[in-house]
Amino acid sequence: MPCVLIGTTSDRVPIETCDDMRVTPEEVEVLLAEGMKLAPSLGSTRILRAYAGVRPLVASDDDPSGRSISRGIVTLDHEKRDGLAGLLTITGGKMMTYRLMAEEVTNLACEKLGVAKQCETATTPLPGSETKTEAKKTYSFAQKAAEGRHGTLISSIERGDVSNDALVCECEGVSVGEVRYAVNTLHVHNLINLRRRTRVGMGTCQGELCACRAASVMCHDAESAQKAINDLNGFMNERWKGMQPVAWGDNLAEAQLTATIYQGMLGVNRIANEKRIEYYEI
Amino acid sequence: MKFDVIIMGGGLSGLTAGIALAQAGKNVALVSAGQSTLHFGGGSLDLLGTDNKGNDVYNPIEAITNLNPKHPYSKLENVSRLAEVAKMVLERAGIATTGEATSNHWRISPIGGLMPTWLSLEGMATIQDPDHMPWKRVALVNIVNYLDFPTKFIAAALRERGVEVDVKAFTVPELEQLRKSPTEMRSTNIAKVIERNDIIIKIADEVNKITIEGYDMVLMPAVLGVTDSEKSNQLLKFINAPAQYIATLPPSVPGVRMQTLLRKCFTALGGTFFTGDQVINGIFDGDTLKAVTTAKLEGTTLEADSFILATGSFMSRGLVSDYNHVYEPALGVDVDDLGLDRKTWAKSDVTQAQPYMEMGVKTDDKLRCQRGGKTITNLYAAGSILSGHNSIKNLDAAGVDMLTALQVVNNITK
Repeated sequence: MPCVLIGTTSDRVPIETCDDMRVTPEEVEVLLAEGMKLAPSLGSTRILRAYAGVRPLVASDDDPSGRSISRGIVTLDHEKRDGLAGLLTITGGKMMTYRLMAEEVTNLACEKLGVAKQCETATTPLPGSETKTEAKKTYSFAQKAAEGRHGTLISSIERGDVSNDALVCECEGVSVGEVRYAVNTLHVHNLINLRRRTRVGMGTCQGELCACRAASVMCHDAESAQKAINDLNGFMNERWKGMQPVAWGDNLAEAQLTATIYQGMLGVNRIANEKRIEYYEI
Repeated sequence: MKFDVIIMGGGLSGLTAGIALAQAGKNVALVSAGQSTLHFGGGSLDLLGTDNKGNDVYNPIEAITNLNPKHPYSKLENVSRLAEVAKMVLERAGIATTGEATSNHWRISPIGGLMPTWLSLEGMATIQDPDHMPWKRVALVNIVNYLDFPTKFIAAALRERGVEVDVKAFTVPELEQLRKSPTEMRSTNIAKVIERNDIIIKIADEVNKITIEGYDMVLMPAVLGVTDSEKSNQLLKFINAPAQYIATLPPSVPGVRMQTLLRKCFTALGGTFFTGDQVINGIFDGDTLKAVTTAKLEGTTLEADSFILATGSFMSRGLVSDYNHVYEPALGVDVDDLGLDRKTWAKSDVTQAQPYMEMGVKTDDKLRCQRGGKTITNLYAAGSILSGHNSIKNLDAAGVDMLTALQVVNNITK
């Protein structure tokens, strides 16, 4: 399914609220108005969700007002700057540039310590991104989807039997085996982390049935069922958090169906006895 | 083509009206887009489950008198009588139910929640009083690796209420075959496999083998009986212990069955069913609707003396919204958007009462629609397209669907 991501806006966020980021109606308005100038169909296209994040920007020392704030990576050598030997700061980057940040600061640290080596992050493949040695096999939709997420680590996902191959999330092709792999190997212990690892709940239905299935697969015994239901309730609210700012058209119709299933039919909100919502989202 | 009444929408509301009108001797046509929200129901029908404070309702008939005056129930002449007629319509369609409008019972949701409800289909597990569970020892029996019946959740919820629960699972070769395709293990597919292969006795044997210890109740997923209740009743009979069903995650087999039986009943009574189609335009003459046109019947207009709009809320596309507006797409009748700006349609916590839920078409006290502020004298609205209620917060969806439909039928035939 072709998807378009539009953004970003730029706004200053007070430190007190940076853990609870919310998309504002004004931001939605600006992005749509500007976006429609490029692609008029944006006005009638379904918007899946909206999200907000925050990144640190670094004001230079001679500009405390932040007017000429830097959007790049900033490495501070505190020995030069403050006379504090043995302390370096690396900041100002974002997810896209974290390895470059690591390289910059590692190289500087090595230089300070007199280690004659260069950082190897640029040439060392990340786990899962190594060149495939096996001959390419024909994969199912779910296996191809999982390969896109885990690369060569897909070989650690149990498959080939009916239990592991059963699909939890049909939009994103997440199998029971992949959920078990995420729980057992990737330290996933709640639905929000499972979503980050597997994309469960990120498809066009935004968690309509898969969230409940995933919660049930992750729940290892009846003793932890209450915790799993609380997690499910929190997860549905986290999905809603991204839908609510753009709740019109097909998105509103989908949201009503999801609420009808989870609250009207299942009664998740009646069983959950604590509200726990993780606000971080990337 | 000319009819006495044309109904738009083939869900619970449209079909209820269709059956009642056909029974009254009317020549009725029904235009349906296809799927119904019954497919997302739990095998029970709600009249009023929770009051405006969120408390469970024990006597719906009594509690209805305390509802907001904007609620569609305020346009019903005799709620008790209409509730009786609704039950009779279901019986006429071959849908046997238990329950009373003056006394809610509780159903068990697919994750173990106890939900107050009005009518439950025969064979579904029900509880008269949530503070006194009717069983001491229960076997919760699933099909091996069937994901849409989360037994751990149901077991935990029942244990929390003092019931001793053993979780068991069975399988048979025919279902093993189904499991080979990872997307096929869903309720309606399981029902088809069981019915096609005629393996009810085989399944009963398997269930009996694993419940030999003697249980007060055997609870199983409701994955039998897409077309009628014969097979699902049969299985219960063949199981040695008392046995009942709990609804699964959607699609709900009992819900699909209800829609199938209602539709069958409507056509058996002589009703005309246009399926996979929808009304796209109305031909008005002053304050009356003369005819409608549909997406598929090109060049044909459907004329009638009266019309019923029962196309549902947003999720059924009976209401449509865009960036700024909420509108009714078929006939362009007036919508009550509560006077809200789009930014306030939805609240930030999903479990709060959402304002959009109460949006719907405007009607007068006879449930007649308006267009440009003027009442259309022969166009009525019924079911969840009506404004003024929140079916998630009040658990009143089926009651609103059926009772407003029957009131409209009374208003038309009077």
